[in-house]
Amino acid sequence: MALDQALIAMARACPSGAVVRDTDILESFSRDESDATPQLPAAVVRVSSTQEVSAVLRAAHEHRVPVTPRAGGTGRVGGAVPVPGGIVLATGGMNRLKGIEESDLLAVVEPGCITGHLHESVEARGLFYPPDPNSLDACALGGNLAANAGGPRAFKYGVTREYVLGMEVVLADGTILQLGRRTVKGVTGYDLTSLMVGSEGTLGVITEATLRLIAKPEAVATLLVFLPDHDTVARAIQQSITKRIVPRCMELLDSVALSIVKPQVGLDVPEGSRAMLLVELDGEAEQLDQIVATCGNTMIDAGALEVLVATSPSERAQLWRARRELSYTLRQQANHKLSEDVVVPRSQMAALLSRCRGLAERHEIVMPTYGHAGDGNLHVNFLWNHEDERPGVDQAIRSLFEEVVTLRGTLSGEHGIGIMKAPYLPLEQSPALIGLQERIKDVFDPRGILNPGKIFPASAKRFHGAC
Amino acid sequence: MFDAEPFPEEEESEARLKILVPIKRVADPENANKVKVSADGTQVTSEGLEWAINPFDEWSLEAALRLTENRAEKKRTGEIIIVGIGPNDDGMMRTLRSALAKGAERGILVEADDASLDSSVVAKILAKIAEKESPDVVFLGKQTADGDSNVAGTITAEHLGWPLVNYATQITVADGGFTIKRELDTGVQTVSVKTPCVLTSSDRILHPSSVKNGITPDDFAYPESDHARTAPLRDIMKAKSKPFETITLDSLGIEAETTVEYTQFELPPARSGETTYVESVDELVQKLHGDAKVI
Repeated sequence: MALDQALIAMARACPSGAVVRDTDILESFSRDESDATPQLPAAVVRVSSTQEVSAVLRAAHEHRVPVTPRAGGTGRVGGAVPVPGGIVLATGGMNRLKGIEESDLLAVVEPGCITGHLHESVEARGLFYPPDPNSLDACALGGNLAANAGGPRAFKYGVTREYVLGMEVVLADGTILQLGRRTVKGVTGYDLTSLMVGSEGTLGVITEATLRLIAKPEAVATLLVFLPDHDTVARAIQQSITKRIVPRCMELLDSVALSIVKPQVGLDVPEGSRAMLLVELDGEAEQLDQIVATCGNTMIDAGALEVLVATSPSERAQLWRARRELSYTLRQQANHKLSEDVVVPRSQMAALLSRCRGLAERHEIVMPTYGHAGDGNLHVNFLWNHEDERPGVDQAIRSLFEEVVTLRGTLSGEHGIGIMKAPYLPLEQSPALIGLQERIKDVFDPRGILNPGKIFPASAKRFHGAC
Repeated sequence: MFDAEPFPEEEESEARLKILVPIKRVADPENANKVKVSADGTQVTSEGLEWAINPFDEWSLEAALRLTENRAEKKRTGEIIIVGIGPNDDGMMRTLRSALAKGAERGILVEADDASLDSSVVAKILAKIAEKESPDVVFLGKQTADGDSNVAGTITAEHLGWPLVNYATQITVADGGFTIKRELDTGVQTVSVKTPCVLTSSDRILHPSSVKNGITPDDFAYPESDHARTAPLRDIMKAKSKPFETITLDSLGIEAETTVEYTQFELPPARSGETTYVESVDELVQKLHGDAKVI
């Protein structure tokens, strides 16, 4: 059988114990942090070097075995769920931070390196790696790159793509390639590094990345702003942007989300609060106090009820706690939860919030919404308890996506498409555009073994492998 | 817009509690991994540390704030004086100002070199300031997050000859003093204490209804939290103009003679971070039971 032959070849190429078939262990590789239906792979191969990745892919390619690459497994759209079975290529063991080069302002990491570990290591040297996905204590850089992860700080500093200078990837047939460079500038050939970032493991397996670092901001302050309604939120954000205040984060909790987390905020929430903004500012210590005052005053002029300020790391961590744990808190509220990750132009955010309220009323669904208000990236959640409510939820999700596209937004800000959103891709992209991307995929992976079933609505059907 | 509104005058009939709250600045626990020991091991170096209020002092500050306010109406009804002891630098001033922003009325910094301080010297200083200020309460953290000596409150009470209640979990204002609950291994102990007195508290003092001052309505619930309150922007602005006094040890007539001599510091050994992969649940159980002996 092709699968067995492939597994034998993989086991020969890797240290003993790398190929795992124990179902208890396979179980933990059957899912990610999404509600996607889990699928057991036939085997998990735990690789520890680029050479092993290459050998495993060569065998998979030869025997047409589907391969689902996985780093931290914290994705939100089913990207690491091995939909067609086959093997999971687990890079979690390749977790080294290989080096930090202070003079070139870069770090070299393996794909399993935990994002939070990179943060701590570079910050101890006065350097900074801005992308900060919410799961930063558990997610790994390989997955961050594959999904072009964002995070709150993207408002000021941009997303993962802006920090990837180069990478080493292994193509579906085992070919090892060095993409990109170690310099900020460079126009040598097509920008394949950028193509790889956000390709969700469908074009190649990332085995090393060279990441750009910047200087760590000297001081940081966190503001919690309580507001009476969503129109005030839009006004507050707009006015702070007009004043050229550039917070590094501007996080919103809408009225439904705020009412759910209120008991856990640990703060005096002023009466009449229907929304909360968490604003984080950074800069030189001497100027920061003034920026905090300007920003806070702008919020109050716009109609905010209260502005709380924290400057020490532990007090800031306290203000962040409610926001960081929001996703888990919401999960406890109902039997089922789906979280969407839509983006609209900043000027359309009030419109999106009001349309979400309309959807919630029309479909009688609890829809707490929170997210990165500064860049228009909102996590719209759907909470429901009974299976018979599901059709209404599906309708509401489709309506949400249609609204987003009408507002000239996009379906995914930072989670990716995976399997959860693949059916909706045609709402945003034309058949010609999807077709072009599928042809690119064919060039990189002619046998379609890499992460089948992801991104493109028809790709699950296109796979005709051995498993 | 942040012009300080004058604090509303309290009712004539209400006793205006005056509380001295000593504040130590310690390395922020969020950044504790940056604490370094000097090459010769004789001291902990503070270079590059970010400072925060000693968490135990934060509990006392929150309790003191609750004793001296009508929280329902957001009015201050008493006086809190912050006392810091240490170098007059930016980290110290930010820490003390943050306590003023949370609601304390005024501050005193006693300038001193960190190395010349131990619990004995600190207690002498606090007793001297208490004699001068005549507060109703000196409310200390039960210990510091860095020194962990746990005795400054006790020695201060001894110097002053005032009653001492350590580890308060609930405080109710009573005639001429307080009724205080303390949680002990054997149960809850209730004690009555007259002012002036010295208090320290446990973290339970942060519970929503652990402080009853007879002014904030009894059914008022503070938010569930494990920290002191966070300051609003307008109070941070106000704090910049609150009275603040900087004095020297000399002016108090105190010589910094430490009774404790530190001879050696070392950091705990770093964790190896080594990971062992297992093939099956059986192997995991075997490793945990047989090798690590944790189950």
